[in-house]
Amino acid sequence: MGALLKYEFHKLVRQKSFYVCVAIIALMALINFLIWAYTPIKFNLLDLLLSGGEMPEKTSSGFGAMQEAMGGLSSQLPLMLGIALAIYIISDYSQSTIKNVYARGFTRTEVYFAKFLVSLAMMLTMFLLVMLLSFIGGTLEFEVGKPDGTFFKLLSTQLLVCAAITAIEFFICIAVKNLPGAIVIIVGGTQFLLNILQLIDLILASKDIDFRISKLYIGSFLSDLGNSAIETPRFLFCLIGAVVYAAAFLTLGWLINRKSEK
Amino acid sequence: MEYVIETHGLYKRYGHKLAVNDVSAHVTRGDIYGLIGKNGAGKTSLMKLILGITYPTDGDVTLFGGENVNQARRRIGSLIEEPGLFKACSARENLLRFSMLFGTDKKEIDGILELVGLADTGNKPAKAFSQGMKQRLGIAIALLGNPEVLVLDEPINGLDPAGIKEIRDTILRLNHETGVTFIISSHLLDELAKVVTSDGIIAEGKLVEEISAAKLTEKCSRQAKIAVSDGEKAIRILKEKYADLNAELRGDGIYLFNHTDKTAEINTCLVTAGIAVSELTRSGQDFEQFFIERLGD
Repeated sequence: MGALLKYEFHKLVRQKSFYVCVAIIALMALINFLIWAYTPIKFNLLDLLLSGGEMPEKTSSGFGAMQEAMGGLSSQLPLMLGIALAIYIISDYSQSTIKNVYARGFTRTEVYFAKFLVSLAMMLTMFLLVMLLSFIGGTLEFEVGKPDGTFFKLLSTQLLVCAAITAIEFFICIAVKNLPGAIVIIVGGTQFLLNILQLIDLILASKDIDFRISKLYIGSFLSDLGNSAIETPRFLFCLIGAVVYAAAFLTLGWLINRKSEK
Repeated sequence: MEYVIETHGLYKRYGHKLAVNDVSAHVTRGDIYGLIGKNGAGKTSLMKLILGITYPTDGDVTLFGGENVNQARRRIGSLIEEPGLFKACSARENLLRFSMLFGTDKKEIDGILELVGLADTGNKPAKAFSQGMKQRLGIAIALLGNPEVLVLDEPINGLDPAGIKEIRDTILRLNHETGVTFIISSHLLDELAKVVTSDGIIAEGKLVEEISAAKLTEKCSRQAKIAVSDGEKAIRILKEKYADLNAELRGDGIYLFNHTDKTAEINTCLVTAGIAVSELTRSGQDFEQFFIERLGD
């Protein structure tokens, strides 16, 4: 497994497209920060209601910027991560280099988990970069500030949700094994799914049913967790939901990969 | 006899097509085992099963006498179908990447590049290589980690005559000097015949026959052709010498079907009797015929 990890990490380090995706997400993080920094108040209905009708001030600090960064990048980060993952994972299948690995006795399970660990490292790189840039921006523009009581809890859950998103996108790549196909599903498919969920929500609302299916969508977890005023039940739902998503898609991908032939 | 590779009743079905049909093959250590068959006969499918690239529908593979197959496969290098290459990378970077899996040092990489004639390709990416160069790089990857067995699927595909000779010489050198066992598939009988020590003939997924090169030579050299100045006289003289002679006089000479291992003696006998011998050969056509009969239409 050690040799396989070394091989996979070496491939990632030499993959130019990964750096391009990281650079784009860094740029997006900066733009996201600027939007956040120059927006005087949060346009968040929940915060408005919680504050008793007054628009609350945002936490203008380095730590505040970190905490809220993922809320603003809830769709961009999965998108760029998905593209980077697809290029990294599928290149092995499209170039048939995977058969050199299987033929030397590395099992499909070993290959699968080595690739997943590298995928997590890709996600972690992007996540940490977004956090770092937001922190630097917040500190330079405002002050360092202090992490509040929910800071570490929310950030670690955001990270868990990102890991679950990685598992889903990893599953798509492993199942499709075709670069254009995987990118279409990751980019277009998720948008299409979101539209469908929104449509269902509208129908549910029109029938006075107090349930929103889009709240099950993992993308909504990230935006909700970017809000420090998130309610405990929703927080717990996001936490458990992320674990369930990650476990389900990781297992599904493993089952598919076990049977894969080249 | 020590088999490094054995298959037992191996089957592989793709939909309705049975690509490998009850194959029990045996490859002895030190062999150069030629897997001969027409395109689509099941050669590549069998190799993929041996290497674990695909799973058998039924049957199993024993490697190195029965050790864990995944561990055993670390000792096998392979080139199956199109070489699996990182197309944007140079030959050296390709080898460097795979060396992380196979445990090879940089010095060995230099040696392998030299061996396959790709030492001077510099930073040229693999996607810009000719078909022959890609094939050489595929063989170079297979050679990483000093494998004890090399499984090469149509290794001379796309190579020019000089390249074919180089690969053939490399195979023979590795086999003779370091005892590497080879399984080589090809539909080119002539090329395969120059290196193999045993053959597995495969047709429509079935292993029709396994035969050593020595036995094959013995079988195929039963027919000898002698072109002489006087055919009838030559047959009479030979019949005097060999009472059980089985010979036939045809337009282009005499065909012998026994005593074919005594060509030197026959030649002396005829020349002594004053018959000019312009040709005395063991017929090669019989060798081809041997395979054609077994490979089917």
